Amino acid sequence: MKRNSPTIVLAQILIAVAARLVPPGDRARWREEWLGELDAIAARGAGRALRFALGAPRDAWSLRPPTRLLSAVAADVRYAARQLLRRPAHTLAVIACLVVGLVASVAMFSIITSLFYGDMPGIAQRKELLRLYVGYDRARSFETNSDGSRVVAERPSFSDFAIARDLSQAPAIDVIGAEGNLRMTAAGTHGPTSVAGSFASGDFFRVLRTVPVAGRFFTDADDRPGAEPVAVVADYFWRTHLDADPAAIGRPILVGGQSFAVVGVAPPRFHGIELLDDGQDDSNGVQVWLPLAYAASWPTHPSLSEPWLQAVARLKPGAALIDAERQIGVVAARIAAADPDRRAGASASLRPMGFGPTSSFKMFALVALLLALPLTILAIGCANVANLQLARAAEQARELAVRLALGATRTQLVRMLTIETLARVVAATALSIGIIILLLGRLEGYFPIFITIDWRVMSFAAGLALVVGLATGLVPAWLVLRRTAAGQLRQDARSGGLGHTRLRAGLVIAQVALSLTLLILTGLFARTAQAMVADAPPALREQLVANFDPGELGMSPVQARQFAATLADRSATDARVSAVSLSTQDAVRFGPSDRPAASDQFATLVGLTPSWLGVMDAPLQTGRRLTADDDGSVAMISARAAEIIAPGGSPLGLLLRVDLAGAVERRVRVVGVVGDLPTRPTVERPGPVVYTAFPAELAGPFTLRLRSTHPEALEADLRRVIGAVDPRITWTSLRRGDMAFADDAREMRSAIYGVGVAALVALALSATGLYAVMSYVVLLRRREIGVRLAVGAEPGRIVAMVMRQSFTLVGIGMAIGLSLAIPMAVLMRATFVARVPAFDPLAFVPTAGLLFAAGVAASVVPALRASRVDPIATLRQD
Amino acid sequence: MPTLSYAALFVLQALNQGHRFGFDIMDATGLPSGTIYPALRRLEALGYVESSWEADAQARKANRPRRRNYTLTRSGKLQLAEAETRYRAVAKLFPKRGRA
Repeated sequence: MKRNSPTIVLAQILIAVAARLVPPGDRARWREEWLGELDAIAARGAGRALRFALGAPRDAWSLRPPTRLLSAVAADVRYAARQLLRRPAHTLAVIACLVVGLVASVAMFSIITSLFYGDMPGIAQRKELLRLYVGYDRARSFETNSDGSRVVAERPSFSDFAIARDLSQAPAIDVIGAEGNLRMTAAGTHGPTSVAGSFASGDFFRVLRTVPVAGRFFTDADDRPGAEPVAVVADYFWRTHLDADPAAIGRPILVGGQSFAVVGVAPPRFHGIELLDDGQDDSNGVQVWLPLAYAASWPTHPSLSEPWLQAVARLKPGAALIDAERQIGVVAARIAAADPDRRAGASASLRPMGFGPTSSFKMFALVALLLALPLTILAIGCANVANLQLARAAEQARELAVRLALGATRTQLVRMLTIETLARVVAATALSIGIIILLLGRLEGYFPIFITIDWRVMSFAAGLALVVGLATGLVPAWLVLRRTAAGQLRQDARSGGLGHTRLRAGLVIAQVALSLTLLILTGLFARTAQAMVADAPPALREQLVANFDPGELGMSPVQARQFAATLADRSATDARVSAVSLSTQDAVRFGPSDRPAASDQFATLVGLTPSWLGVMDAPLQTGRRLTADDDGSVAMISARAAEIIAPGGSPLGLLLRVDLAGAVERRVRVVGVVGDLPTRPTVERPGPVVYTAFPAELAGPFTLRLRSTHPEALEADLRRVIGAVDPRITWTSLRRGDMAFADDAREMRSAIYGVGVAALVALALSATGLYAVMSYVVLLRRREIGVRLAVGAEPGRIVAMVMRQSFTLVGIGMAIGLSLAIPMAVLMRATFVARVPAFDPLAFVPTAGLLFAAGVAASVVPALRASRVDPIATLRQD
Repeated sequence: MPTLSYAALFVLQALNQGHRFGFDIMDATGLPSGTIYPALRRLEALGYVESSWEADAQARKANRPRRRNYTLTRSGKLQLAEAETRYRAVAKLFPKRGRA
């Protein structure tokens, strides 16, 4: 015997190493036994000896003193692993359905909750932040409470904030800060550009707990009249206009023609309180902050009573909102006392920053709807898992019956199945978490906030998956324990499942119903967006629209008016331009002057040159158009405004009160009515508009419209003309009219993408569920189909038979889905998609068709498989 | 009555046929050593199998370690008989191979 051959030595080493696992008391004998046998085997070949020695670790491991339960569980875990590997297709299908359900639902939920409550870049503990609003009789903004009641909620003005900031010492409120945004022209190392700027109070960054990436933020000392001029720049500005130079701290930049020393750089993606709009990037956010004390002397500063500032307070740790509200009541009283003329009866309110200033009923409906989407997908995914598990139950029940007959206890069976199910759910959850983290990391760039995985939702979703998994994974045990072992064994495995085929069919019906509901929802959203953009006045397609804010440069209102007029005159000289118009736009409250101001309504005030009506093709309904001779004392109103002020009668000749906050109240006489023209895409009917003459002094931004058959061709020339009129001026936007209009429908488009993706995932899951059920049904009816074919049935009839069964499921599901979708469509119409009829056939028919097509696709393979059943083989099987 | 695995039943059968050493049982059953030995330990703990060591002198003469041999106990034989009956009943429930 070659006892010293390397293989034998290797085998001996293996045994010696394995012996370390054996309890010391038994170790010597154990080693002797293995070496004794190894010696005997070595004579038959080194290879066999090595194979023999490979079993030593397992034997040694089995001798370790285990706790009883642990060893039993370990055995069950091994069994579960074998089960999972033995049926890879089933395991993968269950895990895939769970992963799709978990990823889609948790990712969507996380995005939604992050948008509402997540941390914004540079803002820590957003949940503690409250926005401060004031209300008074003449305020122009309001908020709708969840009960539908409206409260006036206006941003605080300079004077309001001056009063409120004194309250910083209140017990429940830590600190109050504010910023007010204005467009400014800022020049770094690469010349001047028009940027979003902001004036921030000394406490502003402290409230938000923003940490500078370089330098420092403002202090109270910076925010005092006469303090050194300092500025904080956004990370984007620092990179693009200061070349990301660390030495830029302390260097002066020109803002609005004045020199400010840069003292700090804000963190990346931080642009103040206001979130960037959907589709905007870092270049659109606030780039430069100046101390609030400078706002009062800024050329374009709003008046002291203009509701312009965004005030934000931080709740002290442990303090409740209600305490803070009580203290803020003091602010309201002081505001009222300080300006009894304009602010009598002032109130102040605090709103959690999470939900934004529009936590209205519509918002709640939208949020409820958005949150229902991920849950629906999760439900459909779980239904699929249930379906797959039930399909296997009959087969597995037989195996369990054998185990029971061989002496396994009931507890053991239940434990085995539990571990098997747990293994699937744990694998799916781990995989989902990985995918979600990757996905959210990818998506973060598209959102203005940090998207973090919502672990509460993840736990809930995983818990639900576990409950569904266990409930359906334990069905085999239930089937077995319910019957006698012999009875179960004798039963044909393929008929064992018929009982719960009904349950599975029910699950598919539920899936189809939910999918159809989601699809119809997508359809409604899509139709709404279509209607919004389709409502764009056709004239917009023949316009080049440029927006300007000359005040940014410190132009006086008179100079600004002069600039606008020159620009319009020069542009009109181009032969391709058929008409040129100028206009301004403001939010106002208006009403007949003989009625109390309290009943005034919100409206848009458009100041226009007479050519505007022609440029926009605005249809005159009654009265006359504005002419160049008209001053600000006459106005045209839109059809909607006419219905409001003179329902059923003629508004012509009526005297209107138009209240532009911060400005003197105006009286205008109505001379004409024009048809409704939407100023931006809206899901509702365009709001009331009051048209007056273009102002003689231009305090804010204005819009230039050039009418031409080829507006794009004018773009380069217009840029040249602007440069020639005043090289300092930059436009805030310059686009073809309909494109600028469509841009404003972005939010609705994002909603459609979100709902659409959810609906398609749901559709795919449902189609999989239907496929699984139909395949199973075909398997169950194999014998019957075999007999039918044997007695001469045409394969085509078999296909038709299976398809009929499938269509029955889809049909019932669709009927239920429609009955769910209709009330939802009515609710949507009642809340936020008022433009589309609730029963829009174009929202319902194509989506139902898509679902039906998916149903056909899912059942055609099982049906064809049924038609190819070999009758002889099937009959012989029994 | 404790549950016996298939492997344990095979081992009982091999012992019943007169195989006494772990290695012989491997040969007879075709199961690997890592399955045979833990089964033997378990059967011994249950009292179905007993083991003894070969005489020291004999091993020393052949210049090799001692070998351990296993035999069925009385209750082991009873257990085997019972299990075989049960397995035959179970076997009847399955369709015979090759028919389908």
